[in-house]
Amino acid sequence: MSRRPEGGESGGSTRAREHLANERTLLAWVRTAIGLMGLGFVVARFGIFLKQVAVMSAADASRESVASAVIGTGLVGAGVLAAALGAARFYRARAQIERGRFEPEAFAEVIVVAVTIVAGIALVVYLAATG
Amino acid sequence: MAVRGRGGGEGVRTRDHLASARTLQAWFRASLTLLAAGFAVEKLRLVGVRLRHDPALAALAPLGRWVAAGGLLVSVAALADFLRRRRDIEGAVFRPRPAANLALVALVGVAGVTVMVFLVAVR
Repeated sequence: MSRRPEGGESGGSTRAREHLANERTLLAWVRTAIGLMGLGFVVARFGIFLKQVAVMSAADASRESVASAVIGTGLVGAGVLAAALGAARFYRARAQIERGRFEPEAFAEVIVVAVTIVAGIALVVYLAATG
Repeated sequence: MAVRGRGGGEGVRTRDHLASARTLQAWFRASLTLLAAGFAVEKLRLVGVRLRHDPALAALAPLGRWVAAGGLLVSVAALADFLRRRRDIEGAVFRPRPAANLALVALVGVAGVTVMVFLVAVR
């Protein structure tokens, strides 16, 4: 990659600040991915806990356990997707910063938010159905 | 090539877009936290219902669901705001819109009261 010279239009270290901003954006993606994975793990594993409670109270929780495992795994998958898309976006933005022509994108954001909205709707429906 | 952005050059425009992406992420994480809070309240309520057969707990059924649904709404609003902001950054004028921020704070307040009600009801 050809290196863009330091000193932007204002004569300051714009290039460095752009790369640092790009790095913070990647870290934001990583925190989002960890959040999605954490929520997914809790949702998936809570089914096991409820199953145990159902054994103690003689209730049926088999349906609940399957639904929470599916939704939880979906959320963890969304987390993995967020990490992968965030990393790809980071490298694309890095190249664009070096070229001096940044192209704003919304694809990764739209995909991750859309997948999470679908999982979130499933979660709310599941909460309503099992409550 | 036409100059895009609000002036200040390409570096400022790049940083504006990256800051906007981080803002979306922050909103999205707030949404996930609300979803998690709603889920926790609803499921722990269910545990209480099954173990203690308390009718007061059964009456609290919608609380967790509403908080989770609120979290979902925050995600949709954040995505719409991100796409609008993207156009604003490319245009000449950036218009901050504090209404969504105030709505989120109100929603967090409602979620906090919900958790408090839950904590008082389930002892």
